[in-house]
Amino acid sequence: MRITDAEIIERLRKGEGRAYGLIIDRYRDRGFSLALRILKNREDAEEALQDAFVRAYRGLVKFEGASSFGTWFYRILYNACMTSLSQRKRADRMVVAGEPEEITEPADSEDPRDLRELEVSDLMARVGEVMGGLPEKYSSIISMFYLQELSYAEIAEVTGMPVGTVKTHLFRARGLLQREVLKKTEGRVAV
Amino acid sequence: MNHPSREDLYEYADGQMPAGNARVVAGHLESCPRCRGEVESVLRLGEAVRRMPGESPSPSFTRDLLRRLGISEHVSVWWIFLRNFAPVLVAVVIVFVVLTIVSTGDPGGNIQKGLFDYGRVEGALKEVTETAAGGLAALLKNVLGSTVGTDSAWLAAYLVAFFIGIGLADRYLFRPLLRRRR
Repeated sequence: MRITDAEIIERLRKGEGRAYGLIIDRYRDRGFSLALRILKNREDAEEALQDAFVRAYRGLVKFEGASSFGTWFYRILYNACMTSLSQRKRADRMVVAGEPEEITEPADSEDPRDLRELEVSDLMARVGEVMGGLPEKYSSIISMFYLQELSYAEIAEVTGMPVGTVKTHLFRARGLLQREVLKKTEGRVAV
Repeated sequence: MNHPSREDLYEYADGQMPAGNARVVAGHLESCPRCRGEVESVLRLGEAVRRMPGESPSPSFTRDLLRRLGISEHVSVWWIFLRNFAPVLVAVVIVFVVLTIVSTGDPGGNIQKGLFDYGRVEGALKEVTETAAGGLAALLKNVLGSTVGTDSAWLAAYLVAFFIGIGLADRYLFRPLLRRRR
C-alpha cells in the first residue's frame, strides 16, 4: 500500500530526514512541469523547484495540514516561480509575450467541434507546440488543472486568485489553446 | 431551447460543478448534440494535455538537492549490518551469559569470583528459570495435551527470551541511535 504524504511527514517530524526523498520523488516531475510552464526555461525551472523543495523541508514545522501537502507545496513552488519571473523581467532578459487578444465567442467557422476531427495523437502534438507559446498565467493554470490535477479551489489556494478568476483564466486558456491548435491545423492543410 | 453557457459546460466537463447543477446540465446534454459536442471537444483537449510527454529535471537534481539539505542518500554497509543484526547479537550474548551462569555456576573461574557472589546469583537465576520452565512445561502440556519435558520447556523459554531481547534492543537501543545518526 502506498505510503501517504501525511505518513511521510510524520516520519520526517520524528527525525527520519531521508524520508524526504520520497517526497522529492513524488513531486519532482510534476513540480518541474509546472515550473517549466511558468518560466519556460529549464535552468530557471530547476532552480525554482530546488528552492521550493528546500523551503518546504524547512517549513514542515509550520505545515499544519489545513490543506493537502501537495497544494501547500505547489503554492511554495508557484511563489518561487513568480519571484524568479519578476527578477527575470526586472533584469530585462526576457521578451515579454504580448497579452493575447481578447478571446471572443468563436464564429461559426471556428466551431470547436473541429477538435474532435483530429486524432488524439495529432492533437497532442499540436497542443505541445502551442503550450510553450501560451502566456504563463494561462499555461500555468492549464498545467495545474490537467497535469498537477488540482481542483479549482486548490488552484485558487496555490495562486492566491479567487475561484472565479481561476475559472475565467482556465476558460480563456482553453479557448486560446483551441484557437491556436486549429490555426496550426489549417496552416498544415493549406500547405 | 436554453443552452448552458460555454463556461458552465466546461465546468461540467471538469467535474467541478455542484451536483444539483450538474444533473441539470447532464439532462440537457442528452437532447442537445451541439452542447454535447462542446463537452466532448473540451474533454478531448484535456486528454491531449494530460497525455503530453512529461518533463523531468536533470538526472543529478535529486542528488544535488539532498546534498543541499544535508541529507545523506546512502547508509554505510556496516551500519546496515549493525542495524539489522546487532539486536540478535545482543540477545544471543544475554542468553549465553544467563545460560553460562546457571549451568556452570562459575563461568570465569577465579577471574570472576571477586566481582560478586556467583552462588547467590546462580541460585536465584536457577530458581527463576526452573519455575518459569516448569510453568511453561505445564502450559505446553495443557495446550498440546502431552507431556513436555523440562529440557524442551527450557529451550522454549530461552527462545522467548531471545526474541524479547531482540525487540527490546531494537526498540530502545538501536532505533534511537539510528535516528540520532540521521
